[in-house]
Amino acid sequence: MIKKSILSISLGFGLSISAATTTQTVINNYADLVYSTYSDSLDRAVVLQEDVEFFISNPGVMTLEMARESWKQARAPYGQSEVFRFYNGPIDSDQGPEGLLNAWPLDEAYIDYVEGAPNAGIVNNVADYPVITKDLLSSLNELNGEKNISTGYHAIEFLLWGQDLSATGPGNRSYTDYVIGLGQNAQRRATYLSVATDLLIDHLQTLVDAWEPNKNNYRAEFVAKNQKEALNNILAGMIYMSGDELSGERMFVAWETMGQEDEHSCFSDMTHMDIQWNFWGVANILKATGILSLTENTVLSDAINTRVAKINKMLAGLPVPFDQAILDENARVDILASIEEMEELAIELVELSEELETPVQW
Amino acid sequence: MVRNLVLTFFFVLSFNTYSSEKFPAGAGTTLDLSVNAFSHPMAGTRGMLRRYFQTGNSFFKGAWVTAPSSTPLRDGLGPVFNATSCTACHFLDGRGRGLPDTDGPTDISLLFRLRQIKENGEVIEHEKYGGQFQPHSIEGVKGEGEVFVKFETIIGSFADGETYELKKPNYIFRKLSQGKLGDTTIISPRVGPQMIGLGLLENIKEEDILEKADPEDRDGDGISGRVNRVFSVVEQREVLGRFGWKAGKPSLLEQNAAAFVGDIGITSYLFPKEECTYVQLDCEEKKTKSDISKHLLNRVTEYTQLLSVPVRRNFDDPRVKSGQKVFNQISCQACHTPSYTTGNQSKFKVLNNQKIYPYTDMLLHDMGDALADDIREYKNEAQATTREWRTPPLWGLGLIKKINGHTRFLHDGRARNLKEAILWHGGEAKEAKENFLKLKKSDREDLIKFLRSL
Repeated sequence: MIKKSILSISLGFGLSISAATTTQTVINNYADLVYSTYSDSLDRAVVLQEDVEFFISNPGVMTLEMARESWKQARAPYGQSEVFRFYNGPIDSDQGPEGLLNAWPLDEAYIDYVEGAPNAGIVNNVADYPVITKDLLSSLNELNGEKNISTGYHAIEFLLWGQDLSATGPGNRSYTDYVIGLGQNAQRRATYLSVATDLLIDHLQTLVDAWEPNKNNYRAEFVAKNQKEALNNILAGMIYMSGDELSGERMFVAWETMGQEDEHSCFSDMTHMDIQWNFWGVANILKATGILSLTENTVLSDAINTRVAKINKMLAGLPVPFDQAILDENARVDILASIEEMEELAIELVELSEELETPVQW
Repeated sequence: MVRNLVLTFFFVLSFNTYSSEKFPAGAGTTLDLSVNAFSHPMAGTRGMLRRYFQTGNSFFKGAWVTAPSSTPLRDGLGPVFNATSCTACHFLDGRGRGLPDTDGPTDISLLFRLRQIKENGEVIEHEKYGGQFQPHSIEGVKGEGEVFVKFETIIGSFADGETYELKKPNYIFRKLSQGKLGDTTIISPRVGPQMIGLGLLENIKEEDILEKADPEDRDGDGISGRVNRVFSVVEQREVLGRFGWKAGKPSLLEQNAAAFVGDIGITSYLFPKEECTYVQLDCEEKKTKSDISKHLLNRVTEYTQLLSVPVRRNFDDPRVKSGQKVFNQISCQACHTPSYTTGNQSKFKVLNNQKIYPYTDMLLHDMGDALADDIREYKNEAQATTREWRTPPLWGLGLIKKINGHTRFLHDGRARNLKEAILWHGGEAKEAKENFLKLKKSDREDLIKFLRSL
């Protein structure tokens, strides 16, 4: 225990660890990081659940605001966990809950009313779905392999904020949507919100279980597997997050289409933070695992550290909200520049994977 | 000058490295063999091109929603449709399942083309249901119905006495919203194929395809091979058909635009008309204007052009090598042409001058009664008849199980594995099938091993 804390103090941030760092230490450190990130996500989802329950039993301006604030807090650790994808781990294997947790963009009208369609969605479809349950919502998510999204962070986000019809702020759903007698199907909407939040917790729990230390679970397999393969998984997550998922799918697509729907958290206008959290996920791995110390190529590891710091600064400086930034001439230049930096980082991480003799193709 | 020389030298070197059969997509072959193996851009795609791929991917994966919505770039779904996204039928850029294990509803990835024979013998799109059957619809519009399958068992045996069972699907249309289909309807089932290497197929030189066409079977080998001549809405003239189960579309742009409107109800500048027939008044009332911009349609097309093909597995296994010999010995290669060198007309360098191994001649072949859409022979899609299918490429076959969780093949997924896929072959492929039946067991197994290595 003491030994471990001394080690983590000596790590510093991004500086090379002592020569004693082994590949196995890096792999173990990674497993610890994954576990703590999912644990944080679960803890904050539990707080979100409490605030959601409080809101639906006492709908009001303040209680709604509290639930929204808890949703934002709950996103922070989850956003940082997304770098643990892209290698068929517990999150995105065939049976993994990724699609149930974080699928987007979603068809709002699949869930609840939207402008111009007051009776749309599962909430208002009493005939086909008389009772809203966990099983029902899970079965309707990505029904038939389609992308109809009924569960996860963004479904909850939509139920808390509503459609974002404003240029300057987020969605503006009224708490009266949840007041019985005022909002159409208020009770069903409340049940939906409550059930969707319960599901979020269930799914996060499976991830925490999969990575818990000293259990017969995925983590045990991961730390025992061929070291090169484990390193390859770790690096692939970082490379695909930096070079494709974040810079490409989440930023460039929105940049190119200038479409509000192509921002990640479009109802709450929290996309600017989603972007930063996703990137922190990459930086967290570098910091927490000491993976850079496995290479003697200090030119490369210094370049990676420098670029990570630069990208962090660039992303923090992007104007808010993101759905307006993608329309602003000056902001667009900055967004594109940060995208290019992330691609450069991906190329450097590919080089790192080659140095570590477990090349990730990108 | 010096620089040019160096570059040329490097190019030659890399060309040789990647011209082996191990790399079916040449230098762009992907090495990833995970469930994402079909979803990568050609290796080394960088910068703006890689980002365009991302944008296209986003519109390939994303769900289309009912208009009007607060997501105008992704609305315009329907009024009638088969699925709400491309991914629904090409999950992870792979292949649709098509059919269930036992009698029951067909899979979402299986669609049906509909044609009607007029009294004068002319074949037109179905008057009441249009050219394609769309089970689903947006709110306020009636979907066209449901399709069930009932299997019939066909039993046969190999020359060595080993028996086999095939399951012939019979399709039953129920809850039809516009009345009966009628006896003069031709029903053509088609499943979503894997999306890999399409840009390379598009870049096979036309003369290389024409060279193998032998419509009158002048060489007398029992195999003709016809070109499908199709009308290109882009070029406004008849051109060589390449894509779709009957080679009915000349290019990926037109294939994608047609799939958007037929499968999802997403109109575009190329196909601005929704699939509503004159009796579908609710459909007509809810139809939307052009739903996907030219710009985004181009991105999706670039995406489909850049999808790579995974590296071969077990390439050097002696049994795989022996299976490859069997493949040639029983004349599979007569239609499943192993290799081409692509042309140099693509705007993407990674697609030009690549030695590729798709195993298709891109031509139409009569595949016999069992696989035909209809016992009568009619033109079904441009020049392609109810009996003809374009030779499907074989690359990626061995990975379908990993990526899509099934091993169903052929145009509606009736073959439950590769052996059955071969056994369904008839018509021009009858002799190859009969050769297969005569093989000794170890040769049959080696052949399957070879196919799985692709």
